[in-house]
Amino acid sequence: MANSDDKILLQTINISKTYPGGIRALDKVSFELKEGEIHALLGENGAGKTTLIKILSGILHPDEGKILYNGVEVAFKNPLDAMSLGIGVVHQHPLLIPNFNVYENLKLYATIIRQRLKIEELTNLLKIFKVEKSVLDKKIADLPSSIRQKIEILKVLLFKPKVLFLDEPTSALTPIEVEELFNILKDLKEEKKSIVFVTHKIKEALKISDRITILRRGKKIATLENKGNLQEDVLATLIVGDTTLKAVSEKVEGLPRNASDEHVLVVEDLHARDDLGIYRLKGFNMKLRRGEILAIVGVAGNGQKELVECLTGLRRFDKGNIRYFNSIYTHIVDFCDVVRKYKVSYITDDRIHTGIARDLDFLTNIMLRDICIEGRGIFIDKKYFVKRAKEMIAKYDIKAPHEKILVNQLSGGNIQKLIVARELEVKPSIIIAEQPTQGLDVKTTIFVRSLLLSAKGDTSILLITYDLEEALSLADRIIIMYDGKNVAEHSSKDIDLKRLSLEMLSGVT
Amino acid sequence: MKVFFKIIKWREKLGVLNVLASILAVGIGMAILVLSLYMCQINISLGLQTIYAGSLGRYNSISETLLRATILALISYGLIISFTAGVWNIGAEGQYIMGAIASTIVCLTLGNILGYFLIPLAMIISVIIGAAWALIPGLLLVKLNINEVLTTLMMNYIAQYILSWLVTGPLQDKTSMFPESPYIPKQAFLPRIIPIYRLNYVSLILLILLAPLIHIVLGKTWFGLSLKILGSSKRTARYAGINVNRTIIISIVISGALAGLAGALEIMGVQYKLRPGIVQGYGYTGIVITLVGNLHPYGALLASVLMASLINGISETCQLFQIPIGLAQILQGIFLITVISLRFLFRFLIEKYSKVYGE
Repeated sequence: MANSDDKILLQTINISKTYPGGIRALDKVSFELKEGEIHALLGENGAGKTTLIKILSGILHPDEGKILYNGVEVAFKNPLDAMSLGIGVVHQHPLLIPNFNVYENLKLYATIIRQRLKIEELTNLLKIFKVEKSVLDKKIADLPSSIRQKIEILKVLLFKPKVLFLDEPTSALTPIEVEELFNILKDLKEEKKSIVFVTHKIKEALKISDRITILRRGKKIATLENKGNLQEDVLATLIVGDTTLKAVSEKVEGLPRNASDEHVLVVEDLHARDDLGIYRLKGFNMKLRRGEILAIVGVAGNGQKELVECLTGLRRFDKGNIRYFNSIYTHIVDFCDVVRKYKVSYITDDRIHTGIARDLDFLTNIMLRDICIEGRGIFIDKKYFVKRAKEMIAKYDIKAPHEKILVNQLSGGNIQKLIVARELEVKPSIIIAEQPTQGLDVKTTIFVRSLLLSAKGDTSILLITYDLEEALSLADRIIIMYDGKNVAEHSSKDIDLKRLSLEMLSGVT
Repeated sequence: MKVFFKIIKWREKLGVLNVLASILAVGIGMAILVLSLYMCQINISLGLQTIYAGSLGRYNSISETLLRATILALISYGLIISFTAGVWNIGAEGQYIMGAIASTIVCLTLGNILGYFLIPLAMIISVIIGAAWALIPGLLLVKLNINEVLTTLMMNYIAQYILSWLVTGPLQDKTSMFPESPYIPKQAFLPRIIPIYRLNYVSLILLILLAPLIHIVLGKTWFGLSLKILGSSKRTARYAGINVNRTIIISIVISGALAGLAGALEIMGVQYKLRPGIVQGYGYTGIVITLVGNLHPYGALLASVLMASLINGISETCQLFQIPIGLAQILQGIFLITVISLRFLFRFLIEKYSKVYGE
């Protein structure tokens, strides 16, 4: 156990970071890391964990605030500066070159940080990690993701960093491997190394760490000593926050509740794998009623992305089926066909790379959804779309000077308004809305939410969000998604926030 | 930089700046042309007069320039389609050669049977063969995800060696010492506008009619919109419900078809027989024309006339003044490099300095 009088090795004082587009990822965060401790950084998606790691490893620069290393102020110009002080980072997604073999990747990393690759050390570590030596000759691309993750960790450990950051290191590991990793981390701690362990899994944080710092929406909420006296549900409430409760009471009331028992979209026993072949959907079920807003809530990476991709024909599923109105699909080959038949529209969460065609103009971008709906004819009725573009700009308060402007000259919020406007203006019967207010400022968030609320009734909305507050303030029903399954369902009238947070964060019902 | 954007007030309009990039690229190319004449110790005004005479100064040179421009423009019209969709077809050269081969074979084998149907049939077959030659890399791209730049480029060499084999083997004129086929029959010659000049009706009509047609397809149809969205982002195209694989195949097949047609025009309107001399790098020049023409059919029309003029004018100048013939190729390279770098620069400036709305 680390004592409170231990030396502070790395410290940040009032660090803030605002991303282009106005998202405040970190707001005056002060954080300290002692020598020889394991410090867990706990928070939801978008709480600012990864941003903090990126700043402390020299990938990002803070807008304000100071970083102290051994009590001396440092400014990292680039990751090399941080590495040369002995800071090693294991990134969430392994930064390895797929076409190189393992040895070449390690050699490359050694060259970058200007150190020698010691074979004895390597053999030793391979043994500890229970990785066969023959893996060294295999290409990264041919290795399963758990081995890749191990190699990524091994790569950093090899050069004996004084400070080790691990960003969600367990996401690709099995429970046994997690146990092994924890043992390694404990050994490192004995060697007086300092470790920052980033996670959203409360259990892991409780198990491994000496202290826990909780971040929520870019702010530090608390730093707690972990002496075996911390309760899981207390932490869960701290992570999610009390303000979410307020959202329930502030929910816009008095709207027509046209929800009927007719189901417009039904998913049954859906199984699907991600690009690496790992099952992300393991028997997911849901039913969307006509005229309601149904929220799927969960921590990112529990299969939400794959679910949306299955629903929109971007991913094949192995088992189960999807029913839009009367049509049952065991695979969706042509989403266009579904869109045309049932007027399904889709608000993507990747607005820049997927939601718009960046180097085309506003006018072209508002036509995008109509390729399926009206695009069976040959010619485009340009006059109609110019008129519609002008109406959209006025109705949705989009700050575009004219419809010929290139969309990448619009701010993120305006682009989101464009996407929402486009998807609503086709008068859809179902909207699949994936994180529709992610990264928007408060005013635009309220505006987009009010648009979705006023569309409800004529339209059934499937809301996929990582943000519990959003789900509570919009949805009629909430389904909790954990590990590729629907673990619980709640009506928005009776919400027990504590229980909800626990279900979200550990799948316990 | 602020001044730059004050002078041109079209800061929102990347399109306008792209046109400017093309004009500047041509300007810079011309300046380098003048500089090269100076360095070859040629009287500049005399040199330029010769270029003019060789390209547009006489009836015959006008005819020859337009004839060459047609073939270049046709290839470029096709490339506009595939480049707009973000499919980098570098293989127009090979598709053109295959079209030329196909039309020669049709004319030589069926020449005495078909009469009036010979010309349209030869053209249709060369369109199909050009399209098929482009379909191969298209399928490799969508089925196996093999980069189309490599495959289309490699297929050019295959086409070229098929041509070499044919003119030294099965198609060689037995009475000739050269590697060339016999003349195609007279009824396969494309009808000339003025009998003593080679410029023919079919080429001229295609040159003029296809430009507005391509313009309409790209600008006013849902298909054109799909091409543009696909060219901007594959993910967005998928999100919009566009059948990405089908659209890629269609775009590369259209460009192959037009290049194949260009090959037929070269045989039936220019050479009247198959010989290695038909390979003049038109497929690559077509790429330069497409980019200098700003991926717009009217731009390509102008650029192909310009490029044909330069090729014809410069080759006459080079013969007259006994200087190396590579000058026209040097110019093409300069056009390409300058137009690409200027576009990149303008894009960078716009992203850096122009206003973002809504912040």
